Parts: sequence; C-alpha cells; structure tokens
Amino acid sequence: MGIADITVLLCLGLSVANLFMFIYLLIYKKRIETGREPNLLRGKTIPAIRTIKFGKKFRKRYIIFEVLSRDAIDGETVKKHIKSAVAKLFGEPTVMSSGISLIFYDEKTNIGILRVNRESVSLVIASFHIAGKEGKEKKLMLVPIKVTGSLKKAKELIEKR
Amino acid sequence: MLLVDAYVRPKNEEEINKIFELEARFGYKAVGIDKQYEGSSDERIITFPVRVVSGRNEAEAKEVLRECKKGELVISKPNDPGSLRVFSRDTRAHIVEISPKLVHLMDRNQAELLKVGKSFIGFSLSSLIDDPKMFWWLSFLLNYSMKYNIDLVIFSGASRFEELVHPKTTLNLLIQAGSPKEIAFKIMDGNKLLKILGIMDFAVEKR
Repeated sequence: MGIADITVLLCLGLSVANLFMFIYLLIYKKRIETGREPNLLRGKTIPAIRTIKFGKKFRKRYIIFEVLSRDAIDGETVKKHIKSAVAKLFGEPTVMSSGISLIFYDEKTNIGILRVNRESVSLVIASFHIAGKEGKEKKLMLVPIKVTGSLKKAKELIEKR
Repeated sequence: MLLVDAYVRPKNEEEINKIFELEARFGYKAVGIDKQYEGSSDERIITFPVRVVSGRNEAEAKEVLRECKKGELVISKPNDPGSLRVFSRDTRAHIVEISPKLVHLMDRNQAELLKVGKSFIGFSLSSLIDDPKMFWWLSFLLNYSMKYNIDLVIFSGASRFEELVHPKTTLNLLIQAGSPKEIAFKIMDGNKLLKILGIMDFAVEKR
C-alpha cells in the first residue's frame, strides 16, 4: 500500500466523519428549534434576551415617525441618531436587545418606518426626545406618528398621508 | 385631558411662530412663554407669561418673589437649602424646579413644605437633552411625588423648535421612568396648572 492509497483512505474517512457530523448538527439544530434541547452553542447572552423564552417567536412592531429638521437629512443619519439616543438613555445592551432597524425612509417627506421588538417600543419612543443632538444643539426632532403590527399596514398608512 | 406646555423660552422672534405652530399640531392647548416675549400670542393656543426666578439665599428668594405679579406663572430655581425652603412654602412660587445637588434635602419635611405652599415640582425636559444622565433625577422626582402625593409638572423648556417634545414621547418617558400609565396621564394633564392661573374657563371655551 503506497502513500497515495493511505491519503485517499484518510480523505474518505474524513469526509464520512464530516457527513456524520453534519447530520448530527442538523438533528441537534432541529431539537433546539423545537425546544427539546438547551441551546449550548449560543454562548453568553444579555439579560434582556435571556428573559425571552427559548424557541419563542420575536414579535415586532413598526413605528412610523416623522423627522423635523432645518436641513435635509438621510436615513443612515436618522438611524445613527436613534441608536445613539437609546444607548445614551438606556445603555448599549438595550440597543442590541431592542432590535432597531430602519426599514424605510423617504427623504422627500421625511417619514420613516422603524422596526423594533415589541418589548422595546416604549423605550425607543422615549429616547426620540434626546435623538439628534450634534455638538451643543439639537439638529432634528423625531415625532412618533403611529405604531403598527405589520409592515403592510405601516406602508398603507404612509401612502394615505 | 388638557395638554399644557408650562414653559418655552424661544431663542429669538423667528422661533416663536414655529414653536406655536408645532405645539398646536401636537395637541397642546396652552403654552407658557418666557416673560421676554409676553406680547406674542397665537389664535390656535392660549399663551400665558412665565417668570423664572432663582435665589442664592433666603433673603434673595424673598426679594425676587416680591416682584412677581398675578396672572403669571412663576417657576423658581433654588440654589441653596434656604431658598428651596422659601420657594417651597410660598404660594407665589407655583413650580419649584429642584436641582439634583439638593437631593439630600428631599425628605418628608420638604414634602410638607411643598404641600403648604401648594407648589408643584418641575422638571425641564431640555435638561435631559443636555445631559441624558438626568433621567435618574426624573425617576427620583416621579417616585418622590407619588410617595408624598405632590404634583409634578413636566415642561419642554425649549429654546428651538427641535427641543419641543411630543406628548407621546413624554408619556413614554414617564412610563420608562417608572410611572404607571394612569399617573403618567395625570402628570401630563394641565388642568390644575391652568386653574391656579385663573385661565381655566377660557381654556375650556377655546377647546
């Protein structure tokens, strides 16, 4: 038996082991998703996330808001200001646990949709007050218009306005 | 519920119209405007003059209160224990905006003085913009007012229109500071404040 044969056998063995490992992980993932197995792969989590029951669906809410400002402002800046305001008022971990993401922002009408976790709606709206501070002066004002449960409804409301 | 923004201090004449326009849009019925711009008014909302006084000691506090006239809302800013006691027990000072450095004086006796003077505790939301760490002070004042049954007034203290605050934002700030929803609504209601100033009937008519 030559070196080439040994290498082929080794590769074959490794690929079979990989296949078994892959199948095992697939079954393990399925068990985690159904809640039969604790998720040991997730590592350390922040308290706000830990309180959410394992396997439970994250419910979202859509906040329709309006930006009042003297200058033109883009969506990225608005998102940055909102995240910074939440961090200043409630701390950095809250930004992560509240799952803030800017879904839509119209620069012409200055109206946008913000997606957040249901549990964090109140704190995100509360931090609208301090959002937009640059240097010593506040550059923009965020006005909450409506909170909806679906993106479709939020878009409909914007179209109606 | 009657929404009242007890104090705005516009930076210049141009800001006044913008502030009035937005306050009316947000649903405020009455706005307290700094004495400097006393003459300015708007047909959509009721305006009343606000005098801000501060004292560094007891004698100075008494002196500034003597200058206050009827019909204007007086917001007092005490700087030392003596002036805090004077402003609290005097009925001429309607709102006492207490600084966090006087936190050690906030006890039962202080609450009794505030009740004697029928004074409100005030919190300016513009201080939250300057320093978000002031959120703990809002939370403290909220608990204090609930414990001793003293009225709390939240006002914007805006100098620019960007500093104004939407009622929904105020409500959520109060909820996050630890207030139950019913008490948050009570705090936001400006009926008591307008009754003190004697413009309640006019407000109801305009509504």
